[in-house]
Amino acid sequence: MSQGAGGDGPLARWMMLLLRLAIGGVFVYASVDKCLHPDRFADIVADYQLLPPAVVNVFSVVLPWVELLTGVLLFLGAWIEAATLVAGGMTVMFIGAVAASVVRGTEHFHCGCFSTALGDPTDGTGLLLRDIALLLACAALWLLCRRSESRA
Amino acid sequence: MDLASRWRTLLTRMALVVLAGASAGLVTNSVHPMGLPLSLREVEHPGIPVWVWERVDRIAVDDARHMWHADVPVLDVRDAEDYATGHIPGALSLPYQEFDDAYERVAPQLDPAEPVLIYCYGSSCGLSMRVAKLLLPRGYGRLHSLESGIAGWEKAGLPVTGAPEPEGSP
Repeated sequence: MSQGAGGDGPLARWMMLLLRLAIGGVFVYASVDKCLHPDRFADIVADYQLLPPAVVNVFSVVLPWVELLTGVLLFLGAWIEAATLVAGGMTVMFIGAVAASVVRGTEHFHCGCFSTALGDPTDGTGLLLRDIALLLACAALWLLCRRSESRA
Repeated sequence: MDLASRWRTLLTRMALVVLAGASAGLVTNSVHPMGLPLSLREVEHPGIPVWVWERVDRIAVDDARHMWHADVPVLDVRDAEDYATGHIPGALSLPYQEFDDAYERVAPQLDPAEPVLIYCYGSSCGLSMRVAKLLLPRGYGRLHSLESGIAGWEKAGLPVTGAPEPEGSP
């Protein structure tokens, strides 16, 4: 299934490996606590006040498992391009949610990114930069996938 | 593989990833001890498992007033600043957002075997049920939640105070 085995140089192959392990690792790590505590994650999602209350539960039950599956696929090197685009799509959604909170003036809030614990609130601007870095990593991996496929 | 079929394969795979993840989430939720209600009309407040709804007695202002007169411990789960501005006289501050620290403070004044009355801002506020979700596993089996919150309490003309509560009250 690996799409990165085409006629690419060793540098591009190593970069692909590094990026998919890093992005996959981030998504798996981010999903575990949320998969274990869907109720706490739903509390955090509700506090963003972006979704109608009636759909918060479904969203909170589904999203962590999509994150987990995406991360596992990237980690294993299966369906890399599809998993990268799903990861990128989710990251765009995260950026939108955090940006909405920052714009509304909720500078410190519970992010629900890696943990559902009621700990210290997160700094919104720092979080945006982190998510943008993740999105750039997804974009880079996707471009490498496309290039390796077109050369294969 | 031509371009159209390449994109078709890619989009199909993306859809399968999302669908498989969603299915795993829905199946897990059905067996998870903190599984959430998913039917749209059952979701009164997000994040509250069915068993929490079943074990918390949601009461109106009049019943809450009787409990307050009977010296049942009252927990204000709103933010500490709102508690300082005005709370039900005798209520203990247990802000949901600082639950772990605040619980350490108020726990010595509570008896899990006895009734406890919880309130937050108003009827659309889900904080009381969130705190109930945290108290139930700690052995509090007789939780009552004031449905209309402090808004309903004030509307009924019942007293509110901004004065700090002495240690050891109520």
